[in-house]
Amino acid sequence: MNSNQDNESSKSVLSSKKKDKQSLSGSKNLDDRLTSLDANLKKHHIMRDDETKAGGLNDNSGFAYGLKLGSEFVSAILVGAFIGWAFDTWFQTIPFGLIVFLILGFAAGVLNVMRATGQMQESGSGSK
Amino acid sequence: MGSLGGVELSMTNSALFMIATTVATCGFLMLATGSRGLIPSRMQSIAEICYDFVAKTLRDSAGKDGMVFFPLVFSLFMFVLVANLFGMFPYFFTVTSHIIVTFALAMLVIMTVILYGFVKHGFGFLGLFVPSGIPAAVLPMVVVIEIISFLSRPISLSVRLFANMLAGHITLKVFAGFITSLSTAGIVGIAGATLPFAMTVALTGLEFLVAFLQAYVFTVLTCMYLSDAVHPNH
Repeated sequence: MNSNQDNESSKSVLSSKKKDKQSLSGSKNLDDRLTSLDANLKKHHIMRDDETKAGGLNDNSGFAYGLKLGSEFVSAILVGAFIGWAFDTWFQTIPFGLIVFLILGFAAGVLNVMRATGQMQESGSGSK
Repeated sequence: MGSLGGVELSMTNSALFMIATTVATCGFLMLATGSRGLIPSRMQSIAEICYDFVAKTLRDSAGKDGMVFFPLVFSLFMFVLVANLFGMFPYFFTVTSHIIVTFALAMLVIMTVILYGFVKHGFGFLGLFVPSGIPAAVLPMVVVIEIISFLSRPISLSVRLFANMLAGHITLKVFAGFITSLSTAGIVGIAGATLPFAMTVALTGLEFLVAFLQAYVFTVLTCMYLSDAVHPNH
């Protein structure tokens, strides 16, 4: 008998909870649920981000990666050569500007590639 | 056809497909966001996914202040993506496989970076070229290298998109050409032609991936460069 009553009361608690859910009257309860939902969503997002990052690395073909680094490297040399050529035509110093800026462009190309592969950031944060 | 100040301005197939890309993008987005349902329809979901995707990319790399560039970045992403995907239709023209188009887009980005940087930070923007913790003796050389590195950005940005699209489409066409030339060589050739045919099918799938990937890469790099304009001293 007693146990039956207990059961009844717990049932009523349950039903009241249900009502709360339906009417959304318990604002504190709702807030709690919202924050927990938020946390869950964040966790989910982080997991998904990790997944996409790993996937992106996997299906990023070697061809695309090579093209990326190649364009970084070559473009800097081209810019260096162009600046050297423009310098020479302005100041009539025909080979020297080209030589100097080609070498600087080469250095900038190496810098670009190191930045693109993320080696630059590590050493930068180390020196800071 | 027409000319303006000695420069020929004619309607080329490149111009036609750029207009088609713009019209298709605008038309799709207007149609998709027209209903503005609380529960999005399929079309609206696609538009919202595009929005969220670009907004997240921009916020992750340029921060909250970078969101002023959202209209630019979103337009660029949609233009490149739709132009790339248009190139996947047979007999269509791939606008992004021409370097002058991608170079114009890249120059637009870099000019925005330079103008916004100078307007927002004045000469403090030049601090971008002076890395911290460098001894004074080598500083001039490092600054020149940094400037060349900065100037090479529009070139590498445009060359990457252009080269990927061009190389992909050329590979596709070469393999498709193998099919016809092999199938002239009798019954053995026809049997052998199934191999490049299978390759063409696989490459078409790969090209769809490349179309998305390169639009994304272009957007990410744009965001990174814009981030330099927003925070030059980091």
